[in-house]
Parts: sequence; structure tokens; C-alpha cells
Amino acid sequence: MAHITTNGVRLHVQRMRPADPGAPPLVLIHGLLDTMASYYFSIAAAIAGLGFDVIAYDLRGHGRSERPPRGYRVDDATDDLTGLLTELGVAGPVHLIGFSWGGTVAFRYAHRFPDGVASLIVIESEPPTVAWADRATDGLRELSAHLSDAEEIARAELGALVPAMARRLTSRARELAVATTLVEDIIDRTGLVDVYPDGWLRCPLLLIVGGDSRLHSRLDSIVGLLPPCDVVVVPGQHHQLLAFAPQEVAAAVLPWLAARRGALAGAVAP
Amino acid sequence: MTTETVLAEIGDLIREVLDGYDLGAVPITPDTSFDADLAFESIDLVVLGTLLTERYGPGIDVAGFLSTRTLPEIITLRVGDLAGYVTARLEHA
Repeated sequence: MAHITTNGVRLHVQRMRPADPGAPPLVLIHGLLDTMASYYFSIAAAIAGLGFDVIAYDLRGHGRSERPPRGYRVDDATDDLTGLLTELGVAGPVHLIGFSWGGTVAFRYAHRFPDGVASLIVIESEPPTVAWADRATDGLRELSAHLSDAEEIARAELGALVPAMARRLTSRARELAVATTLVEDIIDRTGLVDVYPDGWLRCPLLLIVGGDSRLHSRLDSIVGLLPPCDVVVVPGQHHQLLAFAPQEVAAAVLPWLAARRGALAGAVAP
Repeated sequence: MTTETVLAEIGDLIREVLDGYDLGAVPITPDTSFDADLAFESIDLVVLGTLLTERYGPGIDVAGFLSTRTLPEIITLRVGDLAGYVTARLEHA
């Protein structure tokens, strides 16, 4: 098992590296209370199959990474990612994929380091804004109100999952809420803006949204924050697209990434 | 390599993944459920997958194997399912 210590935290990293030493690096960023497993179980292998150097890691406090008591603001997450890439010796722009909170982290990273991102895929995510932080505050309040009720979480968040997994998720959420500053850090508004300047995002962007998700109901306002981008709506799906619609996510992600790969290799993109 | 040998080696790797967690009287058989019997978390399955690739080579692509399954199928995965996959891959290598 690979661990890398950077920015004062020990992070669990797994890399699926093709033989080609020039393979473009692609980083997978998971959501809150989640781990890299969401990608490992869904699209990671297929992306590696396209010839990307796939780097998956567990965010601080999650999975097999260390759980320090503090440092869960969005810029702590982008600092962790910067440090991780430095430690891995990854130079030059990276392709980023983020789900939910991981997508918000990816947006922030692209905002801070516009030359550091080759392309961006976000699944059920939006860029961090003050309005986003307000909504996240409500969401976290709702989540913590149900922390003691595993069945409630199972119904609300994970539907078909077995109760044992819901219980573990609940206990993980409780540990993070009690042992860390995560809840207050996530909604820290320091450095957040309401409106992004024109041209803030310079890389190709693909946005994937569940047709029945809360985010979809606000899709126009989110797209309004972004430069022209590709949008794929997965009909009949809620927030948990990686868990419940991995084939549909793969169908959106793989051709889009193959086109980026083709452009990099000097071939004509489809 | 026989399924029995692979099964025994997977058992050793499972103990490595659980690192110190007392399996007690839980025997590791083809029928053992990762979730129900071993209390595996999803990230534990990722770590086991990478250990299997380290042990048997890049032909063992557990991420690829799992991505053909639905989440309920992954949650109910048994040790025998993984041992069967590894054995089949080794036979075709």
C-alpha cells in the first residue's frame, strides 16, 4: 500500500500506471465520507485502459489516509493535491475528475492553478461560491441531524445498500464530525467568491449531472458560472452517479477523455 | 496454480489488509463474504486488489473485474468469486 506524506498529512495513494512513460496524468478526487473505492469500482480501470496515468487517493480524514483533527477547507484539499503531485514527481498539467465535494475541490484547484489543469470532469458538483457554502451548510445540518439513525442515512443517501454498510458510513461520519473540524471547515467562506471572472477556467470541461438530482434543478445557474462546456444529464438518476449509474458515467467520460488523449497524441480528435 | 493455492494466498493477503484486526474464528473459505463475514470496507477491497496485482502481476486487474459488477454484487462479493477470477486469469496468462 502506498502512502505519501505531504502538507503535514499522510495520504493513501494508488496509481494505475501504463507502460508508456509519457502517459498523461489523471487524478481522481472522491466525495465526502467516500473513498477512492468509488472510482476503483467504476471507471478507474477503463480510464487507465485509455492510456492515462491514473492517480487515485483518499482525501485527508477518509479511507486509509490519516485523519488529522483539522485542515478540511477547500484550500487545504487543493494544497494536499498540490503536495501530492509534487511528491509523485508529476510535472505539467493534470486531467482532473471529481465527484460531488471532489468536483468542488477540482474546480477550486483549476481556479487557483489554471495552467496546472489539462481538462476537468466534474460529476454532480459545482464550483465553490458563497451561495454554495450556504447550501452546504444546510446539507451538513441535515446530515448531522440524522447521524444517529443509520437506517435514515441508508434511505436518504444510499437506497439499495446493505444496512451493514450504512452503519459503517454513519460511524465514519460521526468520527469525522466529532474528531475533526470538517463540518466547520467545509463551509469556511474564506476566499470564496460569488461570481467568477470571465475566462477563469481555461481547460475543456465536462459536467455530468443526475437528471433527478438537486443539482440538476439549479443546472442553469451553475452553467452560468462556467465557460462554455459539455453537459451530460443522466436521466432518472439522483446524486450518487458513480454508485448507481457507473455505465452511464463511463459512456460520458470515456469518449470525452479519448478525444483529449487523441489531441495530446497529435491525432485528430473525434 | 490451483484454486486452493490461490485461496490460501488470498487468505494471507486478507489478513495483511486487515492488519491486526482479529478475525477470531472466522475461517476464510470460498463462501466467506467480504462484507458480512470479514467486515471489509470498500477501501479494504481496493487495497486487497492492489496486493493481488503486486503478487500475481498486472494481468490481475481487480478494478476491471469489479467494474463489470453492480454495487450490490460488489457488496455481496465472496472470497471464492475473487479466487475464481484470479485462477482464471492465471490460467489464461
